[in-house]
Amino acid sequence: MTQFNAASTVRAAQKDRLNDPLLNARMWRKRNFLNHLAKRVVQGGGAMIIASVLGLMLLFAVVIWPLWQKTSVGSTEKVQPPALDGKNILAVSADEYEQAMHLLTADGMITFYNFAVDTQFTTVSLPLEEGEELTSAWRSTDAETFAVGTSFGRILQYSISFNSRFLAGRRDYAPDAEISDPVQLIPAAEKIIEIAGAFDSDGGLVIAALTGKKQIVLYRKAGMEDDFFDEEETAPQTGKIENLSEKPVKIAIGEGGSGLFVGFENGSIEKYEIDDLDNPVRSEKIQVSTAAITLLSFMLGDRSLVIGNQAGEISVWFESFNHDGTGPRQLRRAHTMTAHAQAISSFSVSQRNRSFVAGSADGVLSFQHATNERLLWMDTISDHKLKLLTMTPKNTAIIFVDAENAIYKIAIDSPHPEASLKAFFSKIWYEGYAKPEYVWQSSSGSDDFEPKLSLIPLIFGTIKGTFYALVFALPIAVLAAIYVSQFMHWSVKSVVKPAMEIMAALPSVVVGFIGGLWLAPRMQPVVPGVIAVIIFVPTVAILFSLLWRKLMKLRNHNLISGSETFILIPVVLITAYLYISGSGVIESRLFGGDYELWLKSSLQISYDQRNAFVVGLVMGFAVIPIIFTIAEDALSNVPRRLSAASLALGATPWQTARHIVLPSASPGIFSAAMFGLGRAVGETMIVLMATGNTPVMDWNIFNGFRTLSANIAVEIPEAPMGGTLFRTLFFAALLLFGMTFIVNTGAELVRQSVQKKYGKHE
Amino acid sequence: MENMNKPIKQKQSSGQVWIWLTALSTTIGLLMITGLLGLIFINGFSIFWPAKLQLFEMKDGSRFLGEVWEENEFKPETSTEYEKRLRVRIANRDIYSLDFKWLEEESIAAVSVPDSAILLERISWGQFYGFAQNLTVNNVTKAVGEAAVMRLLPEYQAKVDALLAQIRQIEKVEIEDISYKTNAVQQQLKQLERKKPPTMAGEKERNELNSQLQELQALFSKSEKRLGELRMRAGAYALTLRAASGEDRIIPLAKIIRSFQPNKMNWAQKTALYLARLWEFLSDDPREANMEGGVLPAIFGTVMMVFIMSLAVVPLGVLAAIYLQEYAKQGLFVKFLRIAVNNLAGVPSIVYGIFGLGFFVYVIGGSIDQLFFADSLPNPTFGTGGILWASLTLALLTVPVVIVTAEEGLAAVPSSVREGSVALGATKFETLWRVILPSASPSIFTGLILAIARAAGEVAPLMVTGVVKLAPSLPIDGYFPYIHLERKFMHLGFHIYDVGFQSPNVEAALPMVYATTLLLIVIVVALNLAAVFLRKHLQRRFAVTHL
Repeated sequence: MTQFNAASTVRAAQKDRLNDPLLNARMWRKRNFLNHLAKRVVQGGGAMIIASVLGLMLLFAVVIWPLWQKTSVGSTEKVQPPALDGKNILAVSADEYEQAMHLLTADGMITFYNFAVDTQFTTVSLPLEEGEELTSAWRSTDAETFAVGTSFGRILQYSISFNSRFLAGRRDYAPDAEISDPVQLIPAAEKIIEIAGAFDSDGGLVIAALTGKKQIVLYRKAGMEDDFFDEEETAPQTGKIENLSEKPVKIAIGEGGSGLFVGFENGSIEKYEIDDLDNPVRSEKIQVSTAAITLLSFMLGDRSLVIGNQAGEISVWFESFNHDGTGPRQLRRAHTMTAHAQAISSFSVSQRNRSFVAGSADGVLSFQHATNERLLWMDTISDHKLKLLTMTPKNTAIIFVDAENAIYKIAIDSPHPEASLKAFFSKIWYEGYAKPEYVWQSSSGSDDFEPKLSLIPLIFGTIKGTFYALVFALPIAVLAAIYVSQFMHWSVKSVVKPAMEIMAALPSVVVGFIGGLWLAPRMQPVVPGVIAVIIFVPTVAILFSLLWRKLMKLRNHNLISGSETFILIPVVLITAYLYISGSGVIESRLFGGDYELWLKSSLQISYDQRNAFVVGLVMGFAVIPIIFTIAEDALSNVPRRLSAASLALGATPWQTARHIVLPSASPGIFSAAMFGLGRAVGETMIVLMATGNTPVMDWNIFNGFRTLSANIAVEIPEAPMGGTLFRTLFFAALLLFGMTFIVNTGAELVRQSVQKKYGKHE
Repeated sequence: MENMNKPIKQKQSSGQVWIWLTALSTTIGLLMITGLLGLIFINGFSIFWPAKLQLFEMKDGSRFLGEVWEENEFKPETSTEYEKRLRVRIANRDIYSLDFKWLEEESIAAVSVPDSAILLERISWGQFYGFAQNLTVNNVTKAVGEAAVMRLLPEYQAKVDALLAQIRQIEKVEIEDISYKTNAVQQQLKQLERKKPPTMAGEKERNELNSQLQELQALFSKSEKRLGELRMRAGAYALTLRAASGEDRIIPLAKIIRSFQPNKMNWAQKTALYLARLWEFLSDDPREANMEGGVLPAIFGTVMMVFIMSLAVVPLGVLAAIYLQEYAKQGLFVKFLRIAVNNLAGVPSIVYGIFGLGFFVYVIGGSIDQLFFADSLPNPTFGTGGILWASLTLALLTVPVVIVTAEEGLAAVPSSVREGSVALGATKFETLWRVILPSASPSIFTGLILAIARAAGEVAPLMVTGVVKLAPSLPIDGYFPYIHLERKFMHLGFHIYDVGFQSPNVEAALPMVYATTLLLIVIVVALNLAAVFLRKHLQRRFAVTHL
């Protein structure tokens, strides 16, 4: 009626104005303009939908893409201080702003060079004797502490600081070196060939020096912390490893200064326990390859040992148990990295993550990430052998020194080396693990933590949660839909259907709260009873139905179809009450009085309070109404002529429902199940609150899990923008989006085809 | 199916059992929803009812005063038999450190309900259960013994409350005003400093600002002084209480919100108290890490967020629906669009949250900061989560609901009406504006209600786009520009998650969680019922309940 009135008003208004031709023309123009404007605006609105879908995709693409970005490399520039021409360079490092460099030359000069301002440099000389030369240098992972060995059998140690300030638009340096007194480690006539060091947990420094006589001399200076507590300075200790069978060529100390690794010319390595310097014990001997060891160095964290050899092979080793988690901890080859064609001649580890650069005799440099064995970049950068390499503290440049002692800098950009398809989806052997595994552990308190970014446990958790939710919800929702659509009087249905639909409106945070804080703790003591309820309520209901029929026959009384559901309410409640209160009896009869103990001893599974069982039950609140509503629609839309014909031919209502209505509606029910699945996959708050959120991979119904969605909600607030974790979480969101997109599109296509087949009825 | 409404009395037993099984599923579904609602309603509503305080005298001589929370059976490690135990809320967090205690029925010697037991609701440390000892003003004892104290207490409490009201007035209005102005002046000074080179005019301006600053500081110290005096006066009144276990505690009246003797109260008094507590819950700020007090900021945040979302979602949704239904050529493209819209409805809410974070917060918010708030960088203004971004994220999340509902409304307008309008000379826009939209407006309204209901209950996307456990200030206040869309806000749904799962003392916080849950459920279910009623009333077929 209102439409008609509105139309007539328009008409009346027009009639009045029709008399004035001028007004008429102006009015027409105005109307035309409005009409066109409206069209544009509405089309703009349409474009918004497309734009938002595309924008969603685009944003994800933009955020995720850098994870797979190739390492970009700048041009090579020479950064040589003129004064150092021709001098033998032993060590190099750079400050975090990549403007200043520290160089150590064999004549005992430390040079600080600001290569942004070509003229600025400072030199400090080490206290060497006349004719004494440096032979070997070791630098700590943070490139702040250096230990050097001399040709007179002495060692000394120094620490550097760049002391930079930002002044008037440029960075100024006041570099400084703190130099210890030299220590005569071996007779002055002998030469130190190789030197290695490590800090122990107290901040003390352990140094090992390789001499020309197949012997290694050890030296330990106590840490500052020790000095602080006891007034007296602990005297430095020394020790010796003699009579090595093969010719040692490389040494490295790791594991907090307690393990010395020696690499030999025949390609083997040996490990010595050097906690007690007086009595170093050889604990392992491994033949790595037949080629001579040319590189022995620890990665960030001092646990992973990188071994390189004359043949150009690089591998990463760490101590772990056997694959089954037993046996002694042994050094095992965890990662085989991309090999060079010639001998590995130089090496530097990242101070931020598990990546490293290695250079070889043919001037080739490789930039690799150990955890996921990803080759980030590899190219020939020099005509000469690469003698020294250093990665700047922020991993944004590499400085290398070639055999001619020329110094170059290359800018590199590889913001997310730890990400790769392999890292996300393959088993990876993480430091300290017994075997390659799928692990999600994105962060920890310590700086040298190895991020574990496998998405598989999260995908598994998502599937597990969805599976248990559907196991419970699907039968209930579909059977209820059959009942409500086929056997329920419309007057009852008009109450029951909205009641079920209200369930869909429950905020998931409420459902999660009830699941996590109400149901989970109350269920724990009565799990056997709850399981009994699930098994026996249907049984009791069936028995009751048989009894009811007998009873009805006697009294010759009939009910409105649809009241069964209300008659069953007390039956269900009483049965549930009896079984749950009798849980203790069941427990003592079947499970020896304590089902948790029984689960552990006979099935080897533990019981978490917040587990998949709880989630499965409460997720029903989210999933049942969706499946129910769509399935009920599908069942109600089956043309009545079909069921009428079936009933007329003498089929019982159930036979009609089972063999006529159900098959016709099955695509619709399938689509309902798919929509339910889509909802369960994406549900966040319920799983966040009702599970323990531990990313374990275990089908056990009494354990928790962590889903993609909950993981995003938990970790995104802590993920710094633009970081690897941030982008990985976006990737996880895209996966989630993809999963639900496929499921929902499938369901929608099925639903539309069903609608076309039967048309709408009401 | 009318032909099935006939009573079922066929002889054929085939399938009867199955029908009962399907009926059972319906029963379970109904029990689930009624059970959950019942659980929340009973727990939520009973929270505010004053329970009686019982005095438990244990066999080992210890005494506890508290209210019985629940009763269950447990199995002690030493035996295989189940025994009864009571969970008693003993409060007095400052003495016992735990709010609850399990008392085994075995070890209870006697239970009594002492009339003199008094319950205090305090500003900090939660409730106190005990017995009144004496009342002092400035350390001078004014009343000794329960009867005398209880006679004097209301009068003194009223005096203290009046002082507290003055303190609040100074704190909330005067000092806040001063600090706001101080901030503004300091901001101006900062800007002036950045301007180079310094000019004479700038110098003059700076002097003026500095003198303003000094004035403000003088005002501030004056207010502070008055505050100090008032606090002294209010703090002079103190009540000494003895806990059941014998410890005495002196509690300043200024720290007491309410005191009463539940065991002495009659029904009328209890009802009055119930209503007062309910009102406090609805109208007060939270206290004690959100575990006590009210949820007003959360209600405010929820409502405001939903309101901003509605402003965004209605035009967008209706435009899209008009496009799909009235303007677009019905073909493969529109079919694809419809699938896309339905799909957007099925996208997990956390994905929207991530999108909101990436797009609204970092891209748009970051750009706004660069353009307009460069002064305060690197501290983000819009480039961090806030109520505007959360609202827009939820608008995206709910726009499919509005599109689908509005489209159905548009489709339901008979083509004869359209044709009639066009035949009478109306343009397409006029037909749309004056004929179609008015008759489709109830559907649009239904769509909006459904969108609001969904938005009010969503939490996951908010967690990443700007909700916080405790917002320092509301998004609306008396200072220019009055509506602060960049501010973080509180939300009822997040309040439930935060208090229930992140608070230091989950057990003591549970009453608060139940009450908040009840409030949220009432809002959401009422909105949904309104939508159901509306669409029923309009006799419109509705097929989007899966959204």
